[in-house]
Amino acid sequence: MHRLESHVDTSSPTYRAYREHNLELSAELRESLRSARFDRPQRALDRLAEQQKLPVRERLELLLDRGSPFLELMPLAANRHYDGEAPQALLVTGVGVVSGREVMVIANDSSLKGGAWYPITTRKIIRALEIALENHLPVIHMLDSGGANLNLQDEIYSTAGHIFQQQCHLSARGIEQLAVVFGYCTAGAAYTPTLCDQTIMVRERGCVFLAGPPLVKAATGEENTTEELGGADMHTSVSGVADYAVDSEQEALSLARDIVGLWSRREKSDNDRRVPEDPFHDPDELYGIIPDDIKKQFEMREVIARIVDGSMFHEFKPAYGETMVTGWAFIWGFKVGIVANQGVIFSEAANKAATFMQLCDRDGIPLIFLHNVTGFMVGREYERRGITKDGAKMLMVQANVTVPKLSVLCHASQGAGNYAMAGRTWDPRFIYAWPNSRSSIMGPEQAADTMTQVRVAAMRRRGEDPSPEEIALITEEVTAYFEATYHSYYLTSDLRDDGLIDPTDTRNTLGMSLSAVLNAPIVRQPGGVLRI
Amino acid sequence: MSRLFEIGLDGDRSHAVEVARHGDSATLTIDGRNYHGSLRPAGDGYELTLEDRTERIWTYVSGDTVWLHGFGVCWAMSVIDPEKNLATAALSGDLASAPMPGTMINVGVEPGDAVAAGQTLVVIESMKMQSEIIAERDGVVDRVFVAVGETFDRGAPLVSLELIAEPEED
Amino acid sequence: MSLPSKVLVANRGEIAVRIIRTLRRMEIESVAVYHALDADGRAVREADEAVELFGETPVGAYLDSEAIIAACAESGAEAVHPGFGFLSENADFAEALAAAGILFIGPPPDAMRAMGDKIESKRLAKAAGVPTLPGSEDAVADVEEAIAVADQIGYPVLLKASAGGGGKGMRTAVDADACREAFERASSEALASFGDGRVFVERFVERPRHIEIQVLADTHGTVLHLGERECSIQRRYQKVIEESPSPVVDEATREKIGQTAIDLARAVGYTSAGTVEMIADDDGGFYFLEMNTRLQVEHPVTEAVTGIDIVEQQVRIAAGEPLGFGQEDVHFNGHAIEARVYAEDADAGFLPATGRLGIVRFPAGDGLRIDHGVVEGQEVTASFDPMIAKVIAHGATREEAIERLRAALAATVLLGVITNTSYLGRVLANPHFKAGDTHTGFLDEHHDQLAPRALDAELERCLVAAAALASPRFDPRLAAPEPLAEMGEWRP
Repeated sequence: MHRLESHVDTSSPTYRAYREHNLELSAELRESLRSARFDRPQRALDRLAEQQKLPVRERLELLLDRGSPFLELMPLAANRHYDGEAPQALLVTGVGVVSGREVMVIANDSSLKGGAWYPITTRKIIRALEIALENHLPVIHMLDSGGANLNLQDEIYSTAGHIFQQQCHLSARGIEQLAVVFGYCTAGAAYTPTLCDQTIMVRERGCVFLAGPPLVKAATGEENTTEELGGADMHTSVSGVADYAVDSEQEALSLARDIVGLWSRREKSDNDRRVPEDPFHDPDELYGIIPDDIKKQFEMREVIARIVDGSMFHEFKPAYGETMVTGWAFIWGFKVGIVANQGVIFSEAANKAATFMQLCDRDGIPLIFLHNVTGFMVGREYERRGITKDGAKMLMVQANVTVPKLSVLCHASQGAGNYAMAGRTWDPRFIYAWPNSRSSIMGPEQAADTMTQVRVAAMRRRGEDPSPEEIALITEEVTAYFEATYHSYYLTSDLRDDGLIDPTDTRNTLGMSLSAVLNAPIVRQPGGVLRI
Repeated sequence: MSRLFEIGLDGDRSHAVEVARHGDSATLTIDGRNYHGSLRPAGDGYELTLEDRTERIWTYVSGDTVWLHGFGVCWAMSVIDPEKNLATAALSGDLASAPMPGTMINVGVEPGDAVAAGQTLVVIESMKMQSEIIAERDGVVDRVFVAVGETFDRGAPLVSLELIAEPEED
Repeated sequence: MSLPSKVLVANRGEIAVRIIRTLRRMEIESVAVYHALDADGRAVREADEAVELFGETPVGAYLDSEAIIAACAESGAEAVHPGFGFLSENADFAEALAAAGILFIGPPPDAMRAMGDKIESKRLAKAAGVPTLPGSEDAVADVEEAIAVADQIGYPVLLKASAGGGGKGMRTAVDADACREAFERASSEALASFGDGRVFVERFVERPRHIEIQVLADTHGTVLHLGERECSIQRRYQKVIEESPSPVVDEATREKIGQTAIDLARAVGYTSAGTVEMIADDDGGFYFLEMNTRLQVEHPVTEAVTGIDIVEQQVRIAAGEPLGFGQEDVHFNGHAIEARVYAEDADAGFLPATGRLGIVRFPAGDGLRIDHGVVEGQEVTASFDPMIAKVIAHGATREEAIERLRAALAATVLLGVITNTSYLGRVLANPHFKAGDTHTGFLDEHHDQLAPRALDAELERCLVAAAALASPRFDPRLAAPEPLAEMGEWRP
């Protein structure tokens, strides 16, 4: 391994222009996060106070170890959906430290709409539980939700069942779950606390039942108070549905920390860990490295140099398939294999990546994918040389390597290149995106060109002769659609990644993700590595 | 991170404290504010660091009391679980009082008896459960307030010990 | 007569250790006696042999003269050093030893008896020309006589139990009515404490200093003094800080009061080490208080300034050796101060404290002497005297001695039991103490100034933090895993 040299000229106009652009994006991201987390109408906050409930962020503060990191996941979920009425999908989730244990926290935000579930809420919970299952992270459910938004029941009901099934699987795999019931857990949601190993309920406010008092009265004519029907004391002393009744949220969270402290610590998988070292090159310079236009290229080694320990990197096959950078490095002391794009993928680049992934898989080394890919190379020459065959090899290897994979969309991530680089649908353990990144089936300009050609041709077949203005309108329409749906904010709103991250947070984000990933055993894959 | 405990100089006002450890250092939350600190072995004692202040100290832990020698002085700090605070507050060294209302079942001592810490003084019954009231320290019984068969309220004095007498010396 | 080859030390704690050390230096074998509570004590560890004593109470074990004489027979000890307290002033014990052919390292029984009674000793002192306070010649017969005597010598007066000690059976009175009440109280307290209700009356000296003269007398007629000690810093009539010389005694005064002490010792046929206790008033008057016929707790300050090992001299005198030096050979060098470290809560009325000494660290250094009898892990119980150690500092000047003592107390680490080390430090730092403006009511008079100062917030925070980090309640196993711990509170 040797230290990557940096050729960044921090005084160049390009650097300064890029930097200015990316700092704006960074500020926008920070503001979006702040607003999603904290901007609530005063009446919403007053209502919480009336109910003697803490805002979910304060609950989180009380739960998490002070001075410890918290990797919030999918923080901008649903921000471009539902007219913005469900910021963060009214759910906070992330990997944090409680009593020294890494845990997955899933917490309802009842400041709006009573913490109701939206379709994206359901998917967010499922994704969080999936992460917990894959990475053996104990789960703390902080429950306070009025239940499904019935206006959207169809989209919710089609997926929500996974949640309870995942809870059962977590239990069977020996992954602890604890529920703290701060508010309502009605109907299906009543199963979440009940399927946990241990459940804490706050008196007077937490309640668990299949049907609340109004529904019961309608069904059987029986009259009940909420406490009688599903309150903390009833469930902890009569039904046994829950285990601990406490008087305040503070007490509940204190008890939760106590319980988590009794869980056994997980042995991390062997990873040849080293003592972490800060990157030699300043991560802050990433702002001046990432271009201000999705079509502009940049040197991915400059990015690697600002993420990995000591900026130290051992590059594999440095002179072969140069649009793909492969090699080994350490991030926060964890050994990783890095696969990074330098633009379009050619046959040699695909083959190099496939071989490198096989090597890491055999040796049990987690893989990091840094995306800046516009796809596989097209054209007669490349088709004749079997670019699709080489792409298929890379996909075949990608699909079947079992080492943990982490993806970061650094810039463009388009077409099959996204799949080959372990995009969302290829099941990376964690996937993050930078705010400047864009991801779609192809670039909007190519798409607009193609669509315009197709539509104009169809019009002409019908004998129409579209004017240049009409043609421009078609192009504009297609472009607008693409611009909207390949945008990082839209994608993250729809949970196509586990969160938008500031480029300078990449190192910590990957560090925490790697730490989480190593909670699950890594199985080495014996077998020959093909020099393809 | 540990649960919250109250820490204070014995008998003095106490502070709400939580500790989140990171390796051999920690974030201490004292009365809601965070401080970075560590306690590392040094010589035959320890080196305490809190923010930018460093001090050689010695410590000895005995139950809920942490004895500290530092800044040239010895201190006894009590670490109290606030949730358990109420339960034990009824008993103090010189006076054993009733932790709950009940009836006196058995009086095992009379004034003038020497008792050792941990020794049973009386047995009370409350909620159909018999509890032993024990001496918190060595001493001599001064008074027994409640006779067998009598009832009492929560907090009622049951047995008092004589104030410790000054031993003889020149 | 030659030195005994084996000496039994009929005491415990620091004084037993201190005596054993001198015996070892003199190449005399030592035998410790101990009650089970002291079985792991320092005295037992340091002695060449140890014999267990059994008693109904722990203190009773050390007061059992028969058992101690039997222990001598068992161990072959030829002599007994009684230390102080316990049997040290028990003439019957000394006689019983003599009857068993065992040497008692102390004064003759007659002298012990003569000085043991406050009224008798005062009469003897007066006869020997030692100034005494005006008052009743003898115990007063009844309250009317007490008032009559008081009227005659003038108020305020002090009523004192004849058999008293340690402040018990003492009452002051400012007028006849008060005198009436004080008499009743003093005599009933004396009766309860000593089984002897006799009370006498004498003038009460306000703001008195306690000054005492150390004397040494051999069996060959040499009697000399080792200068004075001032022991005015007392709480509940018990000494806390002692020093030599006294800041108010000059050479001429020392010569004068030294001589009166020598005269008294001669008059009662005294041998061995003894102490004539006096009180001094503001006008330079010294009045006989009592004579202690034994080693004093505070003898190390005299040893520090004179360089004479008093225990060694006691052994030699008991063995019949002449002192071997005269008054002119006794030189006083610098200033020494002793602080008694007690297991007590000085800030809560000096209530005795108990507990297990988990950590014991004493400092060492120039001019420093620590006499202690404790080991780490030892239980400090209410069964015995609460004194844990004596820290003695010697310096060229009083200021140097004070500073050394303060530093030593600050470096004395005793954890697990409340001790008075901080309080002693505050007394030493008090400007009135530094100025030598002391009297036996000093600690009461400056009570407020001697209270611990309020902690500054940062210091208190440090203590709270240290307690949290040391307490197992904050389980170290709850540390975040690396490298998350190193990331700190990263929450983008």
